[in-house]
Amino acid sequence: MLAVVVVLFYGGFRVWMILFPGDEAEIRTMLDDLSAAASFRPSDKPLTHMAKAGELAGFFTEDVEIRAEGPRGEMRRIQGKASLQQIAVSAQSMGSGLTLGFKDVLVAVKEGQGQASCRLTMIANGLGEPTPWVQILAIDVVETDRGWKVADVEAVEAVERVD
Amino acid sequence: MSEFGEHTKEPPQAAGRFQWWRPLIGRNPKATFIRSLVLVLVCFVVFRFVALPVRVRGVSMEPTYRNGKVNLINRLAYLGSEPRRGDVVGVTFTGESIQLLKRIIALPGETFAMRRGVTMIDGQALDEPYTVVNESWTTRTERTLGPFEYVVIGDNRSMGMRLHISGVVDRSRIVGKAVF
Repeated sequence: MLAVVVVLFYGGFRVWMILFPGDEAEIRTMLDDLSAAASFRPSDKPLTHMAKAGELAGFFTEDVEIRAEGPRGEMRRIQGKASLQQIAVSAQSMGSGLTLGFKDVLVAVKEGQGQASCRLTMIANGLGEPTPWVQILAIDVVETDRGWKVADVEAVEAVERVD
Repeated sequence: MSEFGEHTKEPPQAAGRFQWWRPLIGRNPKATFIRSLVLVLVCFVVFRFVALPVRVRGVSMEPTYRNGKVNLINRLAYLGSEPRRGDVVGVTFTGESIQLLKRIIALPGETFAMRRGVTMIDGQALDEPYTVVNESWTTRTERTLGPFEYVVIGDNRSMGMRLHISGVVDRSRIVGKAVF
């Protein structure tokens, strides 16, 4: 009897969370969807590239700014959703696939301000690199009338380099 | 008779009939279930809180650790003592799902620099027989570490210094020591 009550309670909780997700749950779902949209297979057709790049750009604000290291340690800066979409199309047409994942996602929602800060570990496999590309990202997201969007991305060094 | 005695009592069986479930759950299903549950719990506690299983990805710790090798990070290694030079440790990113596997080469309070591929600690060359040295590795400055800071670095230094994740980490980000 107790087990049935526990199962029912857990099931009810899950249904409640699906029907009425909080801000943090919505942001986590958005980040999951973003990583799926950023991933692509080498066998994808050019039309698929365009569609996926458009889908990916939809997760960002118009004036998004991204500052991150490339897989070979070079610093890259992307400004604006349109630039991001172009880079996504050209990256996909290079031939090698990419699998992107976000792990250990920490979300801090600024209550009542429609803003949140996220910190996560990005792991990317592919792009012709033999080893995974791992980077800590600090991401600012804002709430818009079309849901949560990424407004700013900055790479954070995992260790403090001594130069 | 105790409850345990009743549990272990063998149930009556039809002579000569093959019971397919017997090899799987044994003579006493309840005892088998409890043993399995205890085993699962022990594995969960050990692999979640004591010895974290990790798979090495990448070449930065070669030749000590090859790409694909499985290892364990002992989270209890530094409960009674602090990390020591030469220890291979797990360093967290934003959580424990993905960790850096690196070697500690400089300890709190020490001054670290790299000169033509040779690690200098407090002005003295450090003997590192486990490394693949690249003479281009040179730091422009010396760095004196704070009370909780360590320098971690991979053993394979054959690539350019910028391509290798190495540097200063805070003690709080060192999860534990590699077991093997």
